[in-house]
Amino acid sequence: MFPTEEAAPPMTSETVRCEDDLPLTVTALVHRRAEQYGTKRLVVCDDESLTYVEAERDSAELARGLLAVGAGKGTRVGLLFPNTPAFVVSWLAATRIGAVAVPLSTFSTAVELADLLRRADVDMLLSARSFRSHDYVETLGRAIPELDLGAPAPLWSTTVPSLRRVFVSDIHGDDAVVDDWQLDELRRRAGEVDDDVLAAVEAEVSPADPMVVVHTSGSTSAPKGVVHGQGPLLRHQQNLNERRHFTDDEILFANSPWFWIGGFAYALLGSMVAGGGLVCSNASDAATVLDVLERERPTMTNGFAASVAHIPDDPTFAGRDLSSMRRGNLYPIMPADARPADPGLRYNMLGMTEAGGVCLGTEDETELPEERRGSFGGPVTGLESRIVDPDTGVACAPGEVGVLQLRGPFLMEGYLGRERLEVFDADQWYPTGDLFHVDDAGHHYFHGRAGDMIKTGGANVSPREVEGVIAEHAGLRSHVLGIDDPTKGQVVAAALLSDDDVDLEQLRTMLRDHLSAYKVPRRYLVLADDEVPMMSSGKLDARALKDRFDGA
Amino acid sequence: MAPEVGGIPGLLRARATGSAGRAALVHDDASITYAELGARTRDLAGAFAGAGLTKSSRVGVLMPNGIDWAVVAYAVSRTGATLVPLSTLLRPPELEAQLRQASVTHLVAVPRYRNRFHLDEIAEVRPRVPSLRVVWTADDLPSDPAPRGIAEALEERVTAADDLAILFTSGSRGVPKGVIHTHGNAIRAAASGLDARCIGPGERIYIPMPFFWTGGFASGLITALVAGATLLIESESTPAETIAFLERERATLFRGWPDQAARIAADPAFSSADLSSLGPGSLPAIQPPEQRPTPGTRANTFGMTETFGPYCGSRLDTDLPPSARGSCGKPFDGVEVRILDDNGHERGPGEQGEIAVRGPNVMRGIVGRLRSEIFTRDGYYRTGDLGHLDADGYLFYAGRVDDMFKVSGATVYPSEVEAALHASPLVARAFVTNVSDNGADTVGAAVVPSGDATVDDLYADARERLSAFKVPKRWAVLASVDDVPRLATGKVDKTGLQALLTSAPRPTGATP
Repeated sequence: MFPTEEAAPPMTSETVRCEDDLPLTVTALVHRRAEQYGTKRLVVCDDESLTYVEAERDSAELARGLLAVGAGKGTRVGLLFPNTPAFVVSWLAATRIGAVAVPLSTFSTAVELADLLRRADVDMLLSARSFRSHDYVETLGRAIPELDLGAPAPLWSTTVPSLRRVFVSDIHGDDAVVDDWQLDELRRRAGEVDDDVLAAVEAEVSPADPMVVVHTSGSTSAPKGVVHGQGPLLRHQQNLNERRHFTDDEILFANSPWFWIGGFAYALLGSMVAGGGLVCSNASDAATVLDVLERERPTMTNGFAASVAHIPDDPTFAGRDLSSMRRGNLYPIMPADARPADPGLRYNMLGMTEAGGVCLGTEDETELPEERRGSFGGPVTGLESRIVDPDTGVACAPGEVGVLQLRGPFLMEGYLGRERLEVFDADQWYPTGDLFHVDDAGHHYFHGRAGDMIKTGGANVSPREVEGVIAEHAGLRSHVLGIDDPTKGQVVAAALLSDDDVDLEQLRTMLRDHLSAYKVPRRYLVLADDEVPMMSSGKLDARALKDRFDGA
Repeated sequence: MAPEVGGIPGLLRARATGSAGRAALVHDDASITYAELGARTRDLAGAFAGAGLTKSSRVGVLMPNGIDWAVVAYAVSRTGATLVPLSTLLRPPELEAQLRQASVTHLVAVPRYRNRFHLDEIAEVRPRVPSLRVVWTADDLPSDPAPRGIAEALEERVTAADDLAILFTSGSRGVPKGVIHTHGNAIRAAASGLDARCIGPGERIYIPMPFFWTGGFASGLITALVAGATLLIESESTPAETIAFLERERATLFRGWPDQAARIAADPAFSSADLSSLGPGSLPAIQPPEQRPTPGTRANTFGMTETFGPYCGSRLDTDLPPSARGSCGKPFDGVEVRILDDNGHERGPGEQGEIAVRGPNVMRGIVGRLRSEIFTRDGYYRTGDLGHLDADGYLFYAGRVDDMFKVSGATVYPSEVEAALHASPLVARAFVTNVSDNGADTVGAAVVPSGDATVDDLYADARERLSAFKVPKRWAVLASVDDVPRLATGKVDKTGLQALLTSAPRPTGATP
C-alpha cells in the first residue's frame, strides 16, 4: 500500500506487478481471478457486492442457462442494467461462453432502445426490471410492440428481427409474466446443461473472438457499435493498469456507467484485470455516496468530475473521512493533500470507445511546467499516433493543428455494419476526428473535434483556443462554435456561461488584444449553466446550441 | 450504387428481376433460372429463419456440387448467417477440426455420398463439437416459414460488412485455416476478376470445381452471380460426356482442369463436336489450333483463398507484352501487392521476395487468430508465395516460401527447377522438392517423361539447363501424373513426394 501521508507516491517499476501470462479470454480470467482472490470483493455497488468467487459461480450458473436456451459463440446478448452485480454476472455469463455482450444505455428512450437492439442484431436481452424512475418493462413494451410477457417465448418482431428471448430480473411471482421472460428462467434451466458441457464450450473461446459491442454516446451522430475482441481489450486494460499503477492492492471508486467504455473497460474490466476492487454508488443524494466512500475506503478515483461536483455541497461533507482516496481525477471529493494545486498542470487523458479506453496519457502524476499546461502526454503502450491535415492527409509539423490518427492492435475491430475500408485507411490508421497539435517533445494538446473546427472566410479557428482565451482573460466558461453564414461560410460564435450580465463590448475589446481578428467571436449568447443544452450522455448538444444562436 | 451494398441477398434480388429467365446454374440435365433461384432461396431462407437462423449462426454445408448446394448456401446468406462450406472428402477427424474451428451451429449434410455415410460420421464427431445445435439432412430441410415479415426484416439487416463465409484452405502441409470473407470483399473480389477472366453477363461458363473450395465457390458460383452469367457444372463424367454437355449447353468459356482439357482434346468425339460457342478465354488445349495462343503468351491467373480467388491476371484472350510473358499479369482493382524481404521491408522492381497483399478484396481474417497475427501494421497479408514485380507492375510467381531450400548455402526454388525441366522435350510433367540426403538437403525430381527417357537421360539433360546446385540428384520416373502423391484437396502432398524420392535412385555420376 502507498503511505497515506504522501500526495503522490514515488513511481518506480517495482511498484507495478505485471502479470506476464495474463488470461486473454474472459473465460480464463474469471477462473483465474476466482482461484486467486476467492472471497475478495470485485465490486461494491451501494449495499450490494459481488466477490470474485461469486462472480465465477453465479456467472457459471447463468452461462449454463444461456446455453440451455441456445446461446453460444457469437450470440449477441444485450445487457440492460445499471451498475449492479447483476450487470457483472450477466456480462461474464455471456462472454465466458464466447457470446458477444452488448451493454445498452439505461438512459435510452423506447425509440433509442429499439434502434440499438436492431442495429446490434441482438439475439437475447437480459434486463433489470427497473431502476430509479425507469421502468424497463414498460420501455421495452413501447420499443417492441410484439413483446407480450403474458404469452410464451420466443419473440418474433419485425422491429428487432433477430431478438428471440428477453429475460427480465425480479419479476418472479408476477402472474402477468410467464416464466419464459424471467431472468430466473435461465437459472431454472441451468440444470439442463452440466459442467462438462460448459467446460467444453469454454475451451473453444479464443482471444480472437469478439467480446463486446460498446456504443458511442452519439453526441454528433447516431450511436456506433464498436466491436472489441477478447484478447486485445484485456491486454489493453493491463497496459493501462500498469500506466496508472492499478494493482490488486487498490480499490477504485468510479461512477462511470458500465454500458459505456469508461465504465466498462477502464473501471470494471480494468478492476478485474488488476485483481482490485471497484466501488460505485447509484445514489442520487450526496450523503449516501459519502457513506459508501467512508465505509469502503477506495484508494483511487476515476470518472467525470461533473458526476461528483455536487457532493462537496452536502452539509456533512466537511466532517467526512475521505483520506483513503490518494490518486485519480475526481478532485472535488479527494482530500486536499491528494489534490493538485492547479489541476490544469496535471496531464490529461484522452479516452475513446474506439480505443477501448485511454489512448493518450502518461504515467507521470507530477505537476507540469507552465508551458505544458493542458498536455495529454503521448500514445499509451501498443498504440501509434500521428497528426495529419484534415483536408490533405499530410502529416503535420510540430505545432500545427490537425486530426489525431491512431493505429495498433488495441484499437477496435471495427464498427458494426461498417466495412473496414470505411473506417480505417489503407495503412490501417483510424482518424479519431479529434484535433490536436504536438509539441517538439511529443506532448499532445487538444483543439476540439474536427467537425467543430470553424471555417470562417477561408481560415480555420480552433474553438478550444478561443475558449481558453475567454477563460483566462475574462474568467468565463464558454462554448465556442461556428454558425453558418452566407458570405463567410461560418462565423465564430461564443455562448458565455454566466448567471450575471456580461459587458460584451468590453469582452470583445479584450479578445482583440489576444486573438487574431478572424478568431474573435462575432456573435454572443449569455446562458446560465442550466440553460446549456445537454445530451443524455452528459455531453454538450452542439446542434441545439446552434439552434439557440439561429433563434437569437 | 456499388454492387456489394446489399450483400449477396441484394444481388440475388437484383438478378431475380433483372435476369429472371436466364439460367443461373446448369447441373447435368437440371437447371434453375435466376427467378427460380430467387424464389427458392427466399422460401428456404424463411424456413431457416423460422428454425432459428440469425446473423450470429454459422451454417456448415456438407453436400456435393449441385443446384441444391447453391440454394442452401444462398438461403443461408439471406438470413444473415455465415456459410461454412465443408468438403465431402473430409475424414471424420478433419471434419471435427473444421466444425470446431468455425464453431458451426447448424449443419446441412447429404446423408450418403460416394460410399461415405456422412450422417454416421457426423454422429461420431458431434459430442466433441459443443457449438453444433442442429443437423439437417439435405433432403429434409425445415419448411415452416417464420412469422410474417421476419425473414424479410432479417434480410434487410444484411450488409456488405457482414461475414459471408468461412472457407477452409490448407497449404501443401499446413493445418487448415478458416478464412473469413465478408459479403463486401467477396463481391468486390469476384467483380475485379471478370474482365481478365473474360466473363460478362449472359456468358455460359464451365467451371467444374467443387463449391466447397474457393475455386468452385468464389471463382465459380459467386462469380457467376456477380457477373449475371450461367454456371455449367457436371457430376463425374467421361471426356465424351463433357464434350456432349459443352456442345448441348453452348458453353462460351471452358475453365476446367488443364489435365481435363488435354483429355477432352484427345478424345475421339472431340473432332466431330461443335464447340464453336467457346470463346477465346477458354483453356488453350480445347480451342481450335488456329485460335490457340502460343504457349507462354497468356497470363497465369493467380489467386488464393485469402483473396477470394484470383487477385492477379491479364485478359485471357490477349497475349501479354513480351516482357511480361511468364507473369501472372497485374493485380486486380482492390488488391495492392508489395514484395517484402525477410525483415518486412519493401523490395524494388525485379527483386524477389515474399508476396504480400492488402486491400478491400482481401479476407477479413482467419478464425481463431488475432488481426495482429495475420496482418502487418500497415495492413498487408504475407501470402507465403515468392515472386517479384517488374517495372511495369507485372507479378511473377516463384513458388512457396516454405518450399525453397538451401543446397550448399545456395537457394533453390523448386518452381524454377520445375520450369526448367518442363522446357525439356524429354519431360511431360515434373514435381520438384527437397530431399534429405545424409542430413543435408538435395534436389529431388519426380518426372513423367514424354517418351521413354531414363534417369540418366533426364539427368544429363537437366545438367544442360540448370546450374550444378539446382540439378536434381534424386530422380523418380513415374508412369502417369496419377502416381504423384496428392492430398484430399488435390494439391501435391509434399511429404509423400519426399518419401517417394528418398528411396529413388541417383543417376550415374551424381554425387550427393
